[in-house]
Amino acid sequence: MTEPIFNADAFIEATAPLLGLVVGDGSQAAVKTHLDIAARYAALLEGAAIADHEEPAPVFTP
Amino acid sequence: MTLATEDLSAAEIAAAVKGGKTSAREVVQAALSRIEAHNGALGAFTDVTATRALAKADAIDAAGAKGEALGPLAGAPFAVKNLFDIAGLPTRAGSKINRDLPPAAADATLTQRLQAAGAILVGALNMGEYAYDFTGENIHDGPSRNPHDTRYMSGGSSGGSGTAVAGGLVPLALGSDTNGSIRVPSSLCGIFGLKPTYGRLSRARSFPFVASLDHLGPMARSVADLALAYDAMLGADADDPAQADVAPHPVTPSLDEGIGRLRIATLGGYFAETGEPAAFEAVARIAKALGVERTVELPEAERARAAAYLITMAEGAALHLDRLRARATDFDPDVRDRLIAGAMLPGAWIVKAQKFRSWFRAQAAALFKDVDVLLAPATPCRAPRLGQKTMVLGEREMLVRPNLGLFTQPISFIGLPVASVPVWTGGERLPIGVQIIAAPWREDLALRVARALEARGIVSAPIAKAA
Repeated sequence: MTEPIFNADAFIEATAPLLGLVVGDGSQAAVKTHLDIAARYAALLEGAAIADHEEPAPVFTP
Repeated sequence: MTLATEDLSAAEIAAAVKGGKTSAREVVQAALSRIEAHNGALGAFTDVTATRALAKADAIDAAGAKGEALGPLAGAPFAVKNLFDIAGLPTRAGSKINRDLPPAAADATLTQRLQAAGAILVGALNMGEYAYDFTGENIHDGPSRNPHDTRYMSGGSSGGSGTAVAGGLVPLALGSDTNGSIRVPSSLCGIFGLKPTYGRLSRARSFPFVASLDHLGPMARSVADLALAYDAMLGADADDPAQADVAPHPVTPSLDEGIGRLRIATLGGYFAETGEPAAFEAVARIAKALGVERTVELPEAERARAAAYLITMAEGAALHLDRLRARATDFDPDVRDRLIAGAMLPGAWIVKAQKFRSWFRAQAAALFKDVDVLLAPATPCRAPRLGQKTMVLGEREMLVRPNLGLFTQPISFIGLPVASVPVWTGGERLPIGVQIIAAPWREDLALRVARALEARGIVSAPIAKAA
């Protein structure tokens, strides 16, 4: 299995155009900081053993 | 002689108006005078609705003169965080961008219901931009300041609500709480706050932030006022499709029943780490007063906080994506850059977070089979200085803005009802709050415990005189 590697600067460069967002020089460091925090939290969450059949909390009622 | 209403609770004002000891007009005029005198130093209000407030006051006085029954909040001034719609005003939600919106056509449902109970809206309150904030700072309107010492933060994002109530400008305010935005300013400003169960109160005609986590609720200087306001706001609302189909359960009738045989425990683990001693001393003081010796664990709270954090980033960013594209320079940079990062998060992270939310809810449900009420710190520290960007907790330096809510976030993540109560320890000039947490739909239990503590003088919300 490939271990996830998170490079925030590369992620910003790849994702911002897709989203139509401009990350200016004044924002790059802050956006990177927030992405690094998010990636750390995602890794923490990745370690939680959640069953395949666990329903996400917002369950739609038609 | 004019009755001095500054120190009165909303309930006391209503009693005085009903008893003919003062008029609603006198009460409102006094509130408007206080706002005029102190708002420049406190930064609580962004709009003052004097004309409609005086008209409403006159209508109440006229109804009283005719012998008509007056509501439980008759004549009590209140104000709302400026993400609640107020007819005739654009709902700015702390932003510059929203000032370009057309004026709201009608008040938010909760505002309408408080007014139906006789309360009088006197204005809109400062807040962190788009509610993505725990500091109470606002780059467009200036900070809402802590009225106990204006060099310090009010907390946010319902910062103006905390400032206005603690500063004695109004006895009652409404706020919103997505991850802690009622409980954090309640803690830092030293007042009582109620974050009801997720889905309990209507969110109709309030500006959203994170649909999965947004709550609205009252903030006040007494538990009885929280209860009166909450009861007045209860009830189904066809205008809010997210509201839960749960029968209203008024809390005022049981408010003074005391703690009786309630099973109360302190939360350990995550909730006993990563904070300044004051946070844990406050919890210990409450636990001792209640005779609580038991400590329990809410498992995986750190992961719950992480999941709430990711959902907030993603849903908040999705809400604002068009504005981030078109008007990026009109955002507060501190908010904008978090939202930009949020727009980039992989979908798998968010789905995992929502699945974890279901799992965590089940853990809490299991815990509540054996306990009725849980105690935890509301904030990890007293109010930081205005402008402070980082703080050191548990020997780790971390950002202030996202981390003032590290103890509130896991609780609102699964929508549990919480009363935040203000504690004053060690002769400090600045207070700190404790969360009293109950099972879903049991706001009555959280408020009963809060009221019992208030009655014994263990917790209190004195008006600040700093301004």
